[in-house]
Amino acid sequence: MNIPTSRRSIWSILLVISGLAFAGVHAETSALNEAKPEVTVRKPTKSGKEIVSPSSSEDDPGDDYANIKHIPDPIEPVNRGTFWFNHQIYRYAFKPLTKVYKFAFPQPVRTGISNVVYNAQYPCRVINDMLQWKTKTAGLETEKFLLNTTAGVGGIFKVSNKFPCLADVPYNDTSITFAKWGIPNGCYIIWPILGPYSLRDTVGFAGDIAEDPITWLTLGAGTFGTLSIATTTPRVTSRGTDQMDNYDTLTQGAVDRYSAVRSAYEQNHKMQEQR
Amino acid sequence: MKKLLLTSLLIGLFTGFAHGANEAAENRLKASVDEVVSIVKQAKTRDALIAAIKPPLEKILNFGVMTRRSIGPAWKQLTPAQQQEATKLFTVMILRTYTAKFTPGEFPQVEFKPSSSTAPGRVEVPTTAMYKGSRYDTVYRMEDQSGSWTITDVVIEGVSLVADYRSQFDSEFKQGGTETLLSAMRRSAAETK
Repeated sequence: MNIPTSRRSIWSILLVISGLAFAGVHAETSALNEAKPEVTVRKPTKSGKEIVSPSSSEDDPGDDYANIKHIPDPIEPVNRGTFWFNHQIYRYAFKPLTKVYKFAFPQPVRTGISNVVYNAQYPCRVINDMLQWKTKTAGLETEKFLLNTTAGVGGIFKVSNKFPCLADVPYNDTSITFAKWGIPNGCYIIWPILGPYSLRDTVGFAGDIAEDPITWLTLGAGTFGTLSIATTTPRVTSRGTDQMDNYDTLTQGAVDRYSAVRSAYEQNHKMQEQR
Repeated sequence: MKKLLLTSLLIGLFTGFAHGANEAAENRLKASVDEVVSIVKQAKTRDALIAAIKPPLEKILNFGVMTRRSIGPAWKQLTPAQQQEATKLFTVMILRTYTAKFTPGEFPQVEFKPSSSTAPGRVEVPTTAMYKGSRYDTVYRMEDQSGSWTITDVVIEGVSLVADYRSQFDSEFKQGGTETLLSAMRRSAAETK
């Protein structure tokens, strides 16, 4: 669950949808968020009433899990339906494609591709650092970019990981900026293919697209067409393999895949916002 | 003046205890991680790896506490026999899912960071693991249970294992009470076998 390398991009999804059959995978939704789960039809209890569990367990001081705040999910039945649809896409399209990709490209190559894409998204991170007035982080992010681009041969190698001050630069994007500005999450939504987002993060996602250099390259496809494909395709193929693994880990032993993914989404985003 | 001295002494004693506790928890975790890594290095097949890795995981992971907190307030509504069954099922679910992630010969590089004491008898040990080209920030929540430090939760990239299962179990419990919850756990444990 490598958060910095796990943010979403519409371009990967568009590529998959349009069938550019590169052993692709799902988009870079947040590490654990790659929503593709199964529908569990909820049956009412015999009495027709929901059983509501108490909110806390008072006799265990180590149990502080009752206080976790959840993103409102008022359209849960609809979300569960979309979740089921996404899960079928995952099982019958993304997962087989991931296997082909893993077979074709060994781990070091996949890591290199993923590093290049992450490095190229530097503007998105630094813009949001500045929007949050985190000048020190923006400076570190810039140092990291310059180091990886030069010594890391265009970002293939994450040389910055060898320097403690650059290894843990907090990841930033538009959704985190909105959270820092105090904009509330709104409701929880599972989008077809894209997976889970809060309403706020859906708007943040659009902001990320606008800030992403890959968007600029794609828009200028006439001039930079080859470069655009060269940068977009790896994004589809590289990070998604990790996301597939994360999704499997999260859902394989799950009692309720939908709840597992929703909880992971909430927790993962909370951590990013607090960094 | 006496008050000040007493306060200083108490603070000194507490920080001393906390430091000792941190060190004990860290050492316990490091020893377990080393043991697991050594098993992964030596294992020739996946089945051998899974069989060998289970005992050290069962020693360090406190499945009793993890199950109880994952189920949450509904735990009190289970009979002792049901609680025992739930713990067994949860153990199967966790071990099967997480041992499946290891590949013989491929082991993580784990870096330990300074731990912190969150309360008396509770320590959080942050780590960074590099595995198969990916980096994972993982926090181990450890508790001193009867003189032995055990893991009571694993938080990977901000996602708590216990909190994640709690949301699932809660959803099942709200639908149909304890029987629905246990049925769902039985189904899941059977799937992961």
